[in-house]
Amino acid sequence: MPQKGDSVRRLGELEAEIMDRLWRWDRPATVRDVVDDINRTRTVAYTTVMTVADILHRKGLLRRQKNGRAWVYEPAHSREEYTAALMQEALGHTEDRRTALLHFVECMSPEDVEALNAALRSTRQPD
Amino acid sequence: MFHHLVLPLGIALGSALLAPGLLARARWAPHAPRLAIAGWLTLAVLMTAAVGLGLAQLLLPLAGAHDTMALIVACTTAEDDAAQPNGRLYLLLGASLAAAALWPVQALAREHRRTRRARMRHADLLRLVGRRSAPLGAVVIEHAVPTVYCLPGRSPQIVVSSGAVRTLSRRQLDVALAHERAHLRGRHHWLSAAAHAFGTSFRWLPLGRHLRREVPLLLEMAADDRALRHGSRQALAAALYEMAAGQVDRGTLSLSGSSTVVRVRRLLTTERPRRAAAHGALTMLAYCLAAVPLLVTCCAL
Repeated sequence: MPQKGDSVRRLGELEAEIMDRLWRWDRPATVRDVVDDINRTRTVAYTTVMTVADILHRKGLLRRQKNGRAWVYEPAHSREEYTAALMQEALGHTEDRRTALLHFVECMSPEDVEALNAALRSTRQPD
Repeated sequence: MFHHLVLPLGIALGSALLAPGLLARARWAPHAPRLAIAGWLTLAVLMTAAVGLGLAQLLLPLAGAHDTMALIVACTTAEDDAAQPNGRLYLLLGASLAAAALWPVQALAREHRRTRRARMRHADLLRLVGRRSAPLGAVVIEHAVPTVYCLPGRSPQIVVSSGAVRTLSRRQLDVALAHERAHLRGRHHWLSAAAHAFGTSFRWLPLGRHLRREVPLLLEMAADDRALRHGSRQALAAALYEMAAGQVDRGTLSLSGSSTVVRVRRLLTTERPRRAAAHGALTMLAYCLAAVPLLVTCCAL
């Protein structure tokens, strides 16, 4: 079902767009603020953004407070914190990591790195 | 009837105990990694099938027959229906093979579920904090520790940290990205998952122990070879070193006895055997032929 996959991906992209704006603005914002900003480049329905903001809230990515009649959203954690979590998964030594991702190099001990350096130096052609 | 057990037992013991040591030490293997991977998978299938046949052999008296091999020969060669073995025998044979495959298949299914969950979680995070770079054909994450990896699955992606972009020269980065593209294009995560699942299930056998260690390393070598179409050996080896050194300097956890050292030595060695694949194929064929007398003896008994 390519259509379903597409719409799921588009929702995912919208999640990223919303988070990106809230991180960039560094202040709480309403759905209206986000919709207006996205509408500068492309049209997006208010209800769609509202739904996705609600999903992000349920996932624990956004915190919200009632301000008058509208919800005001802000990120639960900074972008750096999420990046750190991502890198921890990428560099970690859990069993999950060993097969879920395929790495260019594995983490090595200083002795092994020194052995690599020696191997490289001994073969480097004088140029 | 027990002499009919000799053949399946011989194949099982040979592929589980004897062959793994030979294949792990084979000099041609690092220079023909894809052939060696095929060899490891063949051993895994052979062992599983032999255990299934052995099981069938033990159960056959219940169904009124006594020789599995004769049964298989009858299944495949009998032309008229009268000579065909009855349905109960097929069922018994099928059930024995399925029983033997159950454990590894179950482990594979578990592995698949586990990695899929981990990948989906990772993809969610990546979508939030990653930035797609069209010139690199990769997603860049802002982090000082240099790393390059790929996330296989539904929407496969290559991920590069900004630290890696800064650390590597353009040529080194190109060849590192080509390595990851080779993983994705070759569907290496399937083989890696299969090796991990089978190896973990049978880690008490030489086959499981060796296979779990060798197949991931051979997959890396296969991807290295493919990446060499996009860069020099020197560039790839230097890229491996730069990334490893960058991760150690940043105090990330590290393991010793690294396979990366083996890969760099292989890339830089000047003594590369010629026609390693042909050599390997002939060697494996020779071992199979050596098993023929066993086969003949068993069928003649």
